Amino acid sequence: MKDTVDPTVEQYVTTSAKSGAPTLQVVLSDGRKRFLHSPYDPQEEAQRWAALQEFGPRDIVVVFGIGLGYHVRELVPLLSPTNRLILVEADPSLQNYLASDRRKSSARVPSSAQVVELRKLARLFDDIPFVQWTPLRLLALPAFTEIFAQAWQEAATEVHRLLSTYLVFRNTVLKFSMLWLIFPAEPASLPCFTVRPPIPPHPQPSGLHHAAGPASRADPAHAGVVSAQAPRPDEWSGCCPR
Amino acid sequence: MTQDSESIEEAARQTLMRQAVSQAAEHGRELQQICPSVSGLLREGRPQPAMEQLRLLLTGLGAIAQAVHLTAPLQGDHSSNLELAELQQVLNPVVSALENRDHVLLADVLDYEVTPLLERWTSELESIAGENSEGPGPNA
Repeated sequence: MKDTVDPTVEQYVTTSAKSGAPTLQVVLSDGRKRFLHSPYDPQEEAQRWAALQEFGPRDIVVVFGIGLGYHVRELVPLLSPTNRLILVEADPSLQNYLASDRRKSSARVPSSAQVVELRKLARLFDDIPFVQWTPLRLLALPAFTEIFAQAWQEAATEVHRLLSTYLVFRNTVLKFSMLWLIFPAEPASLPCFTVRPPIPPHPQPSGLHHAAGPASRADPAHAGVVSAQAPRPDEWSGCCPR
Repeated sequence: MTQDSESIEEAARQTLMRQAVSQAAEHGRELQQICPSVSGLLREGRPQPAMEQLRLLLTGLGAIAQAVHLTAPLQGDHSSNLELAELQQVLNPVVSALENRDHVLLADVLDYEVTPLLERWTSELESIAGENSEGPGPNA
């Protein structure tokens, strides 16, 4: 049984492009042949592709489909040191095919890149500390997205899910940072509170009372009571956003 | 009388051929713009708009081929550089790439085969149009 993500790929064929560089062709189950890299000049194709890619200086750049690695090698010089490069092999059987011939696989993957299996892409953030989470950018040569459409869909879904996780994390951090800026003194000041004037004092119910909250410290004239109870409408003075 | 009508017909034919050649040259220039646009769309992974533009390109190439075929008497020495078989040879891999939905091959053939052919043919057609605009054609 062939270990392949996309069942339509029957066979890989390495041929020489017109430029002399090796190029890769797939034979599909319906007999059609399609090129994964340019049959004329795969290096120029990779340069054009890399020049079109957009990503931020801190993004995790995920490249779907390695092939013979031309596009990956052209992408590496464009990355900043803060970028992280993750490579996802579109078809594990391609890796086996290329491993059989050292000439084809020579310098295919740059040493700075991390190769991740498609099924392990979902756990990408597991190895990265929270503070180093950054947006992800999924890139691929169009031929890989067309030929390995199913695997591409899976990769896109996983990256989208990871990106959502990152965005939720970032928004949560932002919210807490904002709250910390507004209420830097004590977390006790976060619940809904009411500052009552000391005179005349209301009869105190047996609820939670504090003699000195942050407001009383800030203003001695209001050295009254900070109550965690729901305020009466006539004594309402403020409420933190819920 | 018959000779007069024949010469009038011949002159009209020559005029039509000159017009066809200059229009084909103009069309060739336009197609030279479409060619990289189609290959660019294919390389960006946008086959849908690429196929719409490719239809225009292939129709245009057909029109140029027809103009080259019909204006053979006007071409003189240039006819050796305007071989329809050469166009056929270039279009065969285009057809093959379309059948296999091989967009990588299609983009490459457009960039490395069709565009240079269009450039050569367009300049040849412009030369023919230039030579024939000043006087009657070489075979007139």
